[in-house]
Amino acid sequence: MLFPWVCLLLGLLGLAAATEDRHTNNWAVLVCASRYWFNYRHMANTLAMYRTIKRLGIPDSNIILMLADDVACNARNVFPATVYANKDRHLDLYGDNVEVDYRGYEVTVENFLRLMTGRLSDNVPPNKRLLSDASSNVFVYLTGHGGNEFLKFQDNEEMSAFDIADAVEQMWEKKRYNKLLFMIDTCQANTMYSQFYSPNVIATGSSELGENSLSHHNDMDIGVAVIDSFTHFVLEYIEPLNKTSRNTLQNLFDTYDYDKIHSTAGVSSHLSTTPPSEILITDFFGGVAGVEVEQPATAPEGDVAIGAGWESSEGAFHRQDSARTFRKIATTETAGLPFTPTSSTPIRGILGAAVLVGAAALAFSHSR
Amino acid sequence: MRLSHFVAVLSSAVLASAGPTSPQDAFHEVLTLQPLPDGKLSVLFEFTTHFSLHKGDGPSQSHHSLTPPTLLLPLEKSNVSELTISFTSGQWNQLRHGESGPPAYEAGGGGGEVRGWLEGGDTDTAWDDVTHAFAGLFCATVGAEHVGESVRTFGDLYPPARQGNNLSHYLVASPHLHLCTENLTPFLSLLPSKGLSGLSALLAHPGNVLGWGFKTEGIDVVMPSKTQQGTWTGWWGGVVDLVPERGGTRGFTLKTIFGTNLPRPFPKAASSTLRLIAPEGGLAVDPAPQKVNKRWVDGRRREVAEWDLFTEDLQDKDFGFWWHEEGPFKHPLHFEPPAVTISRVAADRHASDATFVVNIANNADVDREAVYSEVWPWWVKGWLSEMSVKVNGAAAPDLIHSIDYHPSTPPTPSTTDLHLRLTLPARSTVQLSIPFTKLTLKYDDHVPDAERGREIPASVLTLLDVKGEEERYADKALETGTVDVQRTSRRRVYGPKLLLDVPTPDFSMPYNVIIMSSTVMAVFFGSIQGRIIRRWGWVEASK
Repeated sequence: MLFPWVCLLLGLLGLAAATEDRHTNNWAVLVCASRYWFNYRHMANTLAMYRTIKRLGIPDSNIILMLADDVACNARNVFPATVYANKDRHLDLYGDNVEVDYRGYEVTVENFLRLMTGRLSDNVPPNKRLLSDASSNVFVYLTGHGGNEFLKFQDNEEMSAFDIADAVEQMWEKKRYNKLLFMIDTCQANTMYSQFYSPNVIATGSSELGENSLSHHNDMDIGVAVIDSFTHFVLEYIEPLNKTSRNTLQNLFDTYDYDKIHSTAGVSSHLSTTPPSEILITDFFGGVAGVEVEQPATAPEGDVAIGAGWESSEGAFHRQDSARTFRKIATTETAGLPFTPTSSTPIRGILGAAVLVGAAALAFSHSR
Repeated sequence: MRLSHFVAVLSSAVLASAGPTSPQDAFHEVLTLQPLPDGKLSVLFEFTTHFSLHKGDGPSQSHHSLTPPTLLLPLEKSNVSELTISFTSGQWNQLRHGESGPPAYEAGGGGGEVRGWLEGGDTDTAWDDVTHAFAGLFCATVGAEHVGESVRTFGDLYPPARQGNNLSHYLVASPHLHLCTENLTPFLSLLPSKGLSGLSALLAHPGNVLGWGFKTEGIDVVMPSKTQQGTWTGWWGGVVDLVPERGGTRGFTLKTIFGTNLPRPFPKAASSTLRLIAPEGGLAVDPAPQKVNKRWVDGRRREVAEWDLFTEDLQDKDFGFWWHEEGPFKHPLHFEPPAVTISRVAADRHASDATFVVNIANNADVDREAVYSEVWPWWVKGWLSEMSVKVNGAAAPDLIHSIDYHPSTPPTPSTTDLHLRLTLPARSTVQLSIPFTKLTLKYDDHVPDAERGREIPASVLTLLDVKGEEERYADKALETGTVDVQRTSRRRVYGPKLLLDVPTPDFSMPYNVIIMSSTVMAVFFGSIQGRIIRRWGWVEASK
């Protein structure tokens, strides 16, 4: 009697393991929760993050950008239609192509939670929806003014750590993410992720309980602080990376330094089955989708230019021509690297068969 | 080479499948420059596409050549026959600019406005769908949050361009909206030239065009009928200051205005034209225009110069415009006012009450017939019985011929619509005073920055006697500068939108009261309860 159950369980576990670590699409929700000109830096934080993930390949259609105010076209902005996150004003973050999905009064706790959980009315257009699924990696970035277990939205309401934790749990139940990276830059930010209880969530924040999250520097012409320290150093780390980067989240977390950020940035990864050292930064910040490519059985591993740009990857094209057998699954960037055997097709077949056998045995034993 | 050949074959196949009955789509672009008397320049881009819905073999197929499906599909799906979306940011100064409004005649009042004609039954749902779709497209909530906020009484004032059966009119004004890059990006993406070539390339510099003082953007779509092609026009207008910051001459070139020479033409355009409406006294230009006509422009006979931008020797050229022998610009002390001007203020301001004072000046020598309309949110309650009408200071209640009044139903989201049919006597100013009360808003009716106040939509004056700008045979003999206020296509003149301060409670006070009373309860509860239930006395100790 025990055999069919064990068989079924093993099969299911095996299938779960086999489909793990696979994501086919990336989504990002970037929220600036504060309004008013003097919070320019929060808009700049969010837009700098927006620019970075767009640069690394997440398309506008997969980014939900929420800005509680418009500093770019604010009458006080001496540089109309621009937002700068550095006083050298070298890089205009607003650029000539920006899609703000929720702006001004639309940025509310209700709209944010509805967006995350997908509980929106029928006629909400697709660019205001988080259309993620069980194989999406979702990156959530929040910035604004916060306190112990809350984040202030606009100037009149707050979202608590429990609200966001429950929303994420609902997302998990509705299969709206594969992995979720939660990043928050507010005062006492680390308290905001203290209540998470859903699987596969990695969270990081700028400052611990009782600490302020400080701005980085001012621009004397704009007249206000232009970026927050934590976001500045995160972006500084990511800026030289490109889509083919092999750097992991752990590499990023290791750069957190109190002397530079002036607050204790925190990380929580106990909910994730995969440690941050095995998750690529581009798994969240880039639009690098998993693609199935063929591997020649005898391909020498040395001829692949990993981390180099497209121009130097001609070797990879030659290599693909040489063999047509369909054996292994990998992302385009990992081509040529050793693979985890759990993701190979034959094993999945065997495990699927195990499930079928288990189910059949169970049915058979019940019918007797 | 092979690819371009393939594209050519493909496009000819598309055209062939469109059949002989539907005429080809055509795209026209015009840039109109008009110097204004106060040292500013009015700029207007107009991109007009004539289109048909190229149906393939079945209803599920449609081909889009010059107009993207993102624009037409939501309109088709919701049975929209006409739709206008307009954003206006900044203030058009009627007196100093010398015109009643921007040269984009379809532009609405301040903020965002969406209006349209829908066909068929259950148009409420269809209207909701289509406004939400365009809110997503234009990155701005153009539609109403609640059904009651859509205004249904403007149908007579915005007659449909094309007759249809069972048409319903809707209008929603969102005065708090303004323009920024996220609204320009989708606008450019709707154009076939995408801001890459042709006149649209001059527009694709947000840092430049969004720095202008006044700007307006919008689309105006008329869907095709069985017999006629559809037309959609996208416009972008603005007012540029020509006088340098530290003073100087107001001569300008395309490069000083747009930061670039004339871009290469958009090859698919049927026409690409630069138009200059010459100011009184004339303007020197280089290169010389190919055509100079006299035309009616907003009620005045003007000289209009035109350049065909497909002409080869104009490409990548800079155009120069200057006033002959003009030194540093001296700001005039007196401006000739336009035919009609409107001002509106909230006077006698108190926390809860105020009075709208509207001055409508008719500067022409003829009486004008018009309808003055106001749309108020539910929390503005007008006292129409207290309304007064004055002409040049003397009471004149007879000027109002009829009042069409649709009160709101507070506190549900709804609007008050008021239409006054009136005569504006020649060379005089009509003053309307309407006292109103601001009703108390509940805590969650307030916008997030409640202390800033809330905007109410611009008022609008619809002129009933305009005759259009088409040329007639007898016009040929008329001199430039001749005025006939009725020879204009501007049917509407907008008053300003208003920012009303609403009675705002100190939101922290309820919390203070709760916290204070809880503290009092906690501190004194024990002792009072002790007094009530305890009795003091001697207790004999047990032995």
